[in-house]
Amino acid sequence: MVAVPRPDPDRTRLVELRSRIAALEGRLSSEAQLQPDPASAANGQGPARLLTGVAGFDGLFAAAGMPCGTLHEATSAESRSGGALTGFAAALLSCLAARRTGAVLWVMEPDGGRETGSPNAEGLARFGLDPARVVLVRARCVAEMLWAVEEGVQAKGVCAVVAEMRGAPRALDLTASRRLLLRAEAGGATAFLLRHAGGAAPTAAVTRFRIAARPSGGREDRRLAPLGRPGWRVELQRNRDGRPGTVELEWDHAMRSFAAPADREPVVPRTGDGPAGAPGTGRVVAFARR
Amino acid sequence: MIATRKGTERIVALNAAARALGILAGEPLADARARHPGLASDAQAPAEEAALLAALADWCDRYTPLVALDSDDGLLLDITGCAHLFARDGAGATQDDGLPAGERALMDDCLRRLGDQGFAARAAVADTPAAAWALARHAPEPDGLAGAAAGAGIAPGAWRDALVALPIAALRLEEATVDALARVGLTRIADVVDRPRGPLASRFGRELVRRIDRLRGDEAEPISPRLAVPLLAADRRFFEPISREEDVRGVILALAERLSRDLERRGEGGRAFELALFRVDGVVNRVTVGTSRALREPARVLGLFAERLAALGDDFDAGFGFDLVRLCVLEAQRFEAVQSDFTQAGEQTEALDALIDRLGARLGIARVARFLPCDSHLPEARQKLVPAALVDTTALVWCSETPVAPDTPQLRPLRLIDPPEPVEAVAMVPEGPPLRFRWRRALYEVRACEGPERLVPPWWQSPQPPQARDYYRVEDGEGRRFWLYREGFYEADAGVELRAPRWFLQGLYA
Repeated sequence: MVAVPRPDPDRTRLVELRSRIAALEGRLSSEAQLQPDPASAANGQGPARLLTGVAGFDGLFAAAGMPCGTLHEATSAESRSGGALTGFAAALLSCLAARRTGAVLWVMEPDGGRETGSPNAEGLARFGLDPARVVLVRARCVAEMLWAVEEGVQAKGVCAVVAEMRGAPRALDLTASRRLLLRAEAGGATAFLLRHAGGAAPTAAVTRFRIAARPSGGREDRRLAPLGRPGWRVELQRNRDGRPGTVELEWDHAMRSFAAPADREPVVPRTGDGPAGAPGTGRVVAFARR
Repeated sequence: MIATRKGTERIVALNAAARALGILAGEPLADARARHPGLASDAQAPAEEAALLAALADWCDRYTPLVALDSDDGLLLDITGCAHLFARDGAGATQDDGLPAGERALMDDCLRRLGDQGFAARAAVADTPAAAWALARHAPEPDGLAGAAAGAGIAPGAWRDALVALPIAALRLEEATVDALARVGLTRIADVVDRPRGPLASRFGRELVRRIDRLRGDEAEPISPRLAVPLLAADRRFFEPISREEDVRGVILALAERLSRDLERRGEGGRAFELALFRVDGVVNRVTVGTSRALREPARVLGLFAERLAALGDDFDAGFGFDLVRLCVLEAQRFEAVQSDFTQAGEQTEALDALIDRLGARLGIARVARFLPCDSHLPEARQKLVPAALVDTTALVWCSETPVAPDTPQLRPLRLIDPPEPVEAVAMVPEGPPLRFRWRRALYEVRACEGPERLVPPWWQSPQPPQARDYYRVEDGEGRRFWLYREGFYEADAGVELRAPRWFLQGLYA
């Protein structure tokens, strides 16, 4: 397992320089290229487990990393936290899509967009998930949605299927979700149930993540301070493939990977007349030669 | 049937019994009532009649794909090349009136089936549409058959014998021309058809000469069909109607196999298929499916229709069964045979296309969409959802591979709320960021904020100067992140009262 080191200012500068060089050369920086592990890359299916690089998260599962090719579930307490839930899903999908080929099927409820809005392509692109690989399906009822998910996980050209819904639809009971689980395990695609304001209705999913936004750390009065990285407080409420637990995660846009939160001051992009910069910017730092 | 014409209620259509009483079409209702007080009448409903005629035209599709509506009470069928399919073995090549057996059988079949459905129809088969029209509408009615189904035919080339005795109105002329011709004693087709054309044209207009030409077949008169003619079609008729879904599936598969052979010969594959199910009682169900790539495999064509029929569910009503099933290719495209390679990439795209087709067939093609980037800087207009089956995937370029430097902010939200929802916000005056806001009756304290980013809607698209939007990315106490914008400014221009800008919430961040 390759653990991504804790970001510190020096390291951040290094990544920045490298990505700038990579941009000049027109390729992805070496850190952003995510390699599938050789053992499972041989069968063309991508890794059987998704290593996020955050030990606290990967260690919750029986073998290191979240299992792929099965059914996961992520819920949020309220639909207004839809941004955090979508972000967590986008982050996982981004990791998954980087390691596997195929499209991402995103299935929505009939009026799914009314409460929490619809997925925004540019936002997904920022998480490293190419919107061109996303196929958005708007079902007319929950039964059709489940049918579309079932078709999706069995199809060869699909690497992940997202089923997004509000609350706990009656049609998605233990039997229906068990069916999805079996299809996903047979088909090889990873399925996610995203349930906005989802209660504790039982499903057959291997895991259930309870996602809440994590306030970006820092000083007390942060009005006008920048937002920093997206972060989540991920409570793994149920885990059939390991143990439950709670872990805090952040997303690193540059590395396109999860990171453990460092609770550092967000670094302000240098602008002429912007708000006062956090300490550390604009300073020349020396770092050891490797 | 009555309708109000020229201020009085007049009879526009009547049945055989009324005709037997000596009532004429066009007569005022009051006159007829005076003679026969027991007349039953009903108001004419043009819209319903048109719908009925369209349904009949649909039904006539079983004889030929070229069916045209003729005014509001007739149908024109181009049966060129179709008639021999209806000739029964053993019947003589020609009947006593010289009409070929196929045409005769087709017309009889049509009249019999229409009669079974309760329609009184008159039909005619002839070399030219004009001749058939004249014969169907103006032929003298055979005795004892008034109003019932009646058919007449003209043998090839024999139009003269059949038509010369018909009144001049059978030439389909305007009323004024007919009157003018009658005044000089020309009342039958025989009176004009062999006259010198020059004087006729100069006196009664070119239209008369054209009509004569069309009757003789000297000028072609194309009919304008109601529906596009399919590129390829295969159909199967049943002596005993079928109604079970498995039977229909079996027939679709068999027809698709026939079509696939034709498509293969042309080197093409179908992009749009249509299934027409002709019910015994005259209703025609049409089901169309589109595909994302040229397709000719019978099993996959059947799969698409099976999804479509499953989606129709209870709307799919077989009634007393179908006696004709037709499968058409509406649109075809060059079929590129691909050799599979070792990378399986082609196989994957093909599998994805098949999935998109299947989903589209069941849910509707527009419900399976992809994100198409649009050239606009307004957030709500930057992406468009286009049907995945129709879009060219090479157009979907989102540039997500550009590496980002660490700590550059996320500019655009993950979820877009469209249309933006108004919020009540307290903000620093005049152009500051929001401090707290109320969205959907819940209050949020802004704990961190990035912005503003100013966007101005295109001024050339609205008559009023558009209001600039200042976008802020804000975080509340619990870490939820929102995308807010202020439309306009707090301003107190000279003479203009203070106008408070409005705030909107347009997106959610992670």
